[in-house]
Amino acid sequence: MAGGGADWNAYNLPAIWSMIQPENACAGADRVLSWLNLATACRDQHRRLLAARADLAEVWPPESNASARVFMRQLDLLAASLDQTLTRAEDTRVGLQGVFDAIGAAQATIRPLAAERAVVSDDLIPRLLDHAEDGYDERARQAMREAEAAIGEHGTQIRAPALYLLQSDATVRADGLPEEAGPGASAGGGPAGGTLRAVPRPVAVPHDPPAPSAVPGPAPGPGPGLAGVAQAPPPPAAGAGGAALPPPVTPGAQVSGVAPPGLVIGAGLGLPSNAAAIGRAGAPGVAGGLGGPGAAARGSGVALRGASGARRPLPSGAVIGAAGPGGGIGRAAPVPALGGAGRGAGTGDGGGEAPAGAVDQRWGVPVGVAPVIAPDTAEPEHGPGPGVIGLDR
Amino acid sequence: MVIRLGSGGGEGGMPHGVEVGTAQVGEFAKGLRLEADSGFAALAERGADLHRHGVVFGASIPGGTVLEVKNRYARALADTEANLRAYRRAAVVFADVAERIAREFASVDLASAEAQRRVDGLLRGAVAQADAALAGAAPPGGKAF
Repeated sequence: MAGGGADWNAYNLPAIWSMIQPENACAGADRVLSWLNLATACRDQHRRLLAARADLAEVWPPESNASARVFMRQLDLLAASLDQTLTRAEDTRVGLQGVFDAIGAAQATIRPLAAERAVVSDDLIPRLLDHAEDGYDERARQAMREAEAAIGEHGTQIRAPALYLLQSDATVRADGLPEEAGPGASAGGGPAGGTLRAVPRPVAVPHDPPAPSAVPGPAPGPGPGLAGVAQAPPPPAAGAGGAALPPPVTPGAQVSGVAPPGLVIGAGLGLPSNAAAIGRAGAPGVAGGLGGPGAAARGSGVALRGASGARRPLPSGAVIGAAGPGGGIGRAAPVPALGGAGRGAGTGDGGGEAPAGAVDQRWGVPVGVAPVIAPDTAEPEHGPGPGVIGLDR
Repeated sequence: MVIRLGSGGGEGGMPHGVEVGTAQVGEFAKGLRLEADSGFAALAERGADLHRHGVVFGASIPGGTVLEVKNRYARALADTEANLRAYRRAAVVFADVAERIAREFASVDLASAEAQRRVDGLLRGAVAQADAALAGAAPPGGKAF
């Protein structure tokens, strides 16, 4: 069967198990039984139709009636199509049974592997040392390769019947069946060439495999705690206590990613409200991204608009996120850097005028500042360390 | 819509004077209509039930092989269901024609060329009626029966 196989090397066992675990063998068995019942019912109907036709032929013999031949030919076409439909239904039933058998075999193989792998995944030995999970992954991949091959093989038995149509004699094939719908047939299977045909209703084909790059591994939980290592506390909630996280999105809030005019992103948190770097006209200039105490890098922000509301391109030489030390209170720079003084916020003149300075102007950088951290001048000692218990060196 | 049924009358080998039991044709019509409302209707319902469930395997399995099998199954579902619907309509059409033959041809020699032409006309008319009846409820892309 044509169609490329999946790259199973891109999936590990948990990903593979997530694919086939939802396969419902009971639902599959129900559908197989439905096809079987359908084929049986079609066969009974076909038999009754032929019997009725034979009875009619006795009283209206086509051998001696051209009019009867016209009528009987159409009945024969109906019977032939019904016969093909029931034959294809039987074939489809067999093919579908094979597909579900293949899936069931894969499930039976992979289910215990998934359980065993979960055990070795949770032990204390990391995967990079023992590679315990790799063997399970490969066995699962092999099971899926076999299942895929079996599905492809059984899938060839799934065949659609030719669409039934009442048509002129000129297009009737030698075997009495209507022509197979070819590429030239009408897209919807509707009337074509002066004939009426059955119009199929499209069936959705669910196909939503996980992306290979999104292979689900073991649950990314916190893992076992290390002795003596304190767990990092969760990030503090935004509030007046100095946290510098962006505010949560509240109903009705603007979520399109565009800040309101005059707002400095990242500012306003951890600072008194009256000190937030809102670039209002006439407001005292507050430079920098304005993180509050301990705001660190989050304090730096992007001054989108000042009072004038006009957005400007980033001038050459500007530094995104440049702010004061630690991203805290920055300094008003001649050329407003994004994250530095916002427009209308630098000088506080309220005029919304362009700050002084020329394009491509280089900033002065303080030099000769004494370092805060100095290297340790003590001579290090590289001894072998204490001996193992009972084996002194 | 024009459907050509048969090659018209006047075939050379047509015998003359064959007695036809139109009453039996009427019985055939009744039986076929009963089948349309029971057997063929049940078949159509079975097909619709399978169609409703859709493709029931391999939704999350990657690869072109499984996808192609699913496409084949989807087409088998769609075409089978469409045929089963069409069979019922066809049975109704044939029953209508047989009833009219039984009613209108009671005193006519059905072996005559004139009778053949009339049967052709009845079949065309019945199919056209089915076509017209379904035109309003046809799915996108064409008429169905």
